[in-house]
Amino acid sequence: MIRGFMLILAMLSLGTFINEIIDLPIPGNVIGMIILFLCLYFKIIPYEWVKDAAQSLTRRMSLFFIPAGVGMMEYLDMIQNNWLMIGVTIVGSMFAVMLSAGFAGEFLGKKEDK
Amino acid sequence: MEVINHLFESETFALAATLGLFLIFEAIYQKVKTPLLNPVLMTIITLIVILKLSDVQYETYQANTRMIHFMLGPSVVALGVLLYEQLKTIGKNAVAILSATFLGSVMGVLSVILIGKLFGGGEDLIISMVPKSVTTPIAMAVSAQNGGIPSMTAVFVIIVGVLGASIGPLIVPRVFKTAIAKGLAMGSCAHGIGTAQAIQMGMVEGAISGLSIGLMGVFTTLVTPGILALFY
Repeated sequence: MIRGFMLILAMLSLGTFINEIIDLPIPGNVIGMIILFLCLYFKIIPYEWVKDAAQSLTRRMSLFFIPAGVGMMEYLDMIQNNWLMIGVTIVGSMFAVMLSAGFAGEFLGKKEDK
Repeated sequence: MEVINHLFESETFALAATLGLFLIFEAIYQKVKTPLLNPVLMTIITLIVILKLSDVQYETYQANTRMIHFMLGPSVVALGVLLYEQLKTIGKNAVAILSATFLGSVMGVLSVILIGKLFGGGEDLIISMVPKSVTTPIAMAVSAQNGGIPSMTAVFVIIVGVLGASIGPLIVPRVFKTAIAKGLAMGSCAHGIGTAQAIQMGMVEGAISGLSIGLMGVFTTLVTPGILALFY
């Protein structure tokens, strides 16, 4: 488990480092995620080494964004003043994503099955 | 109230209160199972009410719960392991899944900018909404990287998740026939909260929805700077 955490933290540092030196618009944690995935895919890191640590981190992931979410208390006025724009945008965009991804999956997924 | 104000000065209390409230709301959610009582949303609302009433500054709370917030980074990296696990089982439909999540992320970013501009939204507010269909840690990073307000983004992510998880099951099974399409629709629009509902539809739906979380995160990260540059 400690080995798993160490590797995950190492990938995070590597991702953050890459983000800083190349000035990529991709966050360091996403770069770390991609590198870890590639290391698993090409069998550079054995799956068993990171399995348990990754599971414990992702199973209750939602807990970790509570402090950031509480930060909304700083923006209550901004939300109150823009509630209609925010509401329409979020609902409209949610349907756009739901339907476009769904139809693409229905169309291309069927073709794959044949 | 002064007592509570004083208690929140301590790191241990702030951490214990956050974890405790989360556990309570999780237990309630297990009993009632309505997506509207999402434990994260309920914990956030309750904490805001408590902090406001007892006059605790967000800065104080933020500093004392830094440990919880820190875990976001490693948990995103750990998603790479989930991606690997699911890619093994879903390899056959890789083209459909990759195209659908790519299209979903482009549509997500574009629709926020267009609708937001139409309704007169300001630049920082619109950018904060752009990554709303992506799992929170990635969404916050995308927001920060492109000039949004990460903590507002975290709120929008939860709102869209709760909405997608409650409206999705009423629409998705009627519109789409294949399990692949259902999973993609749920996971792309409502990330983890939507995936919890997709699992109720079936194991394939659940796995594909889970995979969409990671892919939406990667694609949205990649397309956001380019699309934003067209408008701002």
